Amino acid sequence: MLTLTNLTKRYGYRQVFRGVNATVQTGRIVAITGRNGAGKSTLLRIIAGLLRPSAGKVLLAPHTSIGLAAPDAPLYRELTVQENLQFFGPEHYFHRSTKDVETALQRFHLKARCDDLAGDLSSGWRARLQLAVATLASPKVLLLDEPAANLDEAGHSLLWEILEEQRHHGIALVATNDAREAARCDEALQL
Amino acid sequence: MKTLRAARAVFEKDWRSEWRTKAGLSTSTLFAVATPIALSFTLVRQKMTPEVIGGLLWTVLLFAALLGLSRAFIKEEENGTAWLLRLHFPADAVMLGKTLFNFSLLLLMQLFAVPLFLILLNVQLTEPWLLLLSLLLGDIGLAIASTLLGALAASARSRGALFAAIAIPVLLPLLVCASSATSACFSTNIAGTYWPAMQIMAGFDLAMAACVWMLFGTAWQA
Repeated sequence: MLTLTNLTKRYGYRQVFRGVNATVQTGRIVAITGRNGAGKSTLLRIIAGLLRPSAGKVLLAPHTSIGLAAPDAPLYRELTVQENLQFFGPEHYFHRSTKDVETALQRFHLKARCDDLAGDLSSGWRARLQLAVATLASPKVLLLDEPAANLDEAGHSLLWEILEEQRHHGIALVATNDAREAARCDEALQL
Repeated sequence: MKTLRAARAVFEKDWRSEWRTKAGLSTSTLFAVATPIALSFTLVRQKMTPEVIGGLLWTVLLFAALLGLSRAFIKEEENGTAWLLRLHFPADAVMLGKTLFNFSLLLLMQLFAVPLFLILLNVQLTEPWLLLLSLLLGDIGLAIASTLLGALAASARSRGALFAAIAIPVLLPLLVCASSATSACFSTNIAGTYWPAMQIMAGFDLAMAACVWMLFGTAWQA
């Protein structure tokens, strides 16, 4: 379970959001919506522990695993697809491929591109790779920032397959401006 | 055990990236190679004292190192990869992996730069083992300090300038002692001149290691 209590974020004098309260139960997929600049990406980073809130608290069980895929948190362009997965894999075996990595390569149809540099991939394939990295360790909390922005129809189906699976072992928060995408989620948190 | 494995992954990843982009190594080595060449023309037929040679060598090595070492963290911030590195890796694994990377980068750069410096400036080396020891102690201090300072400077806007601005005053005691210890390697009378400098360098390395151990977690947080 994830609880946000009176969460506020300011950058200097500029207030991004104020007094965000929410409780997300295990098995739920929550859309985070709001206009551009409302703080959707910032909220995801605060939940991930990558940014400090100006006020309020994020309550998560200690050592909860978190996966994040976001357009401005890219992977290493100078590493191959397989190397990125090996590096971020739960066991951090950079020099060899583990079962998790092989499964991810198959599942995200990245096997044929595994020796390509991440920087040489199209934006759609990079989005797939980011999703693969985010879900590699089967995180309890999956945070996705505009995950469908660069995905084609097949990638979109894969995304929802992953989100449906996430229900079985955790929660997912999806920051989106797409009303249809938000409607598919169980609930929405408007910023 | 998992921390050590994660540190190894950070080290290997940095070297793989470096090998493909050659951003840090080429910048450092180019500076470290070009400066002795320029000096060899400028100081032709000049008789230099061991103190001047030691000072020149460490000035070249320090500035060459600053050019390359700052890249370890700055490129993570510039490329946006620092977010995922923070999320997936414990701070102590990043600290250890980056320090080892910086240390090995220095060793590799010096493998070319130091012999070239000695040959081009026609320096008579009287104590090669002492030179190796002073280089080793200096490199350890440089690598540890630049890991902490790189992490501190990385999230600022003018990262490169800030790194140099804070690194030079912090590294000044190390530079002075390293120059003093190294100058003994080019002198025929070394009795008592190098030992206090070596002791201070070892003390600096230990103090920096303690600082990094205590402060890196805070510095690395966004």
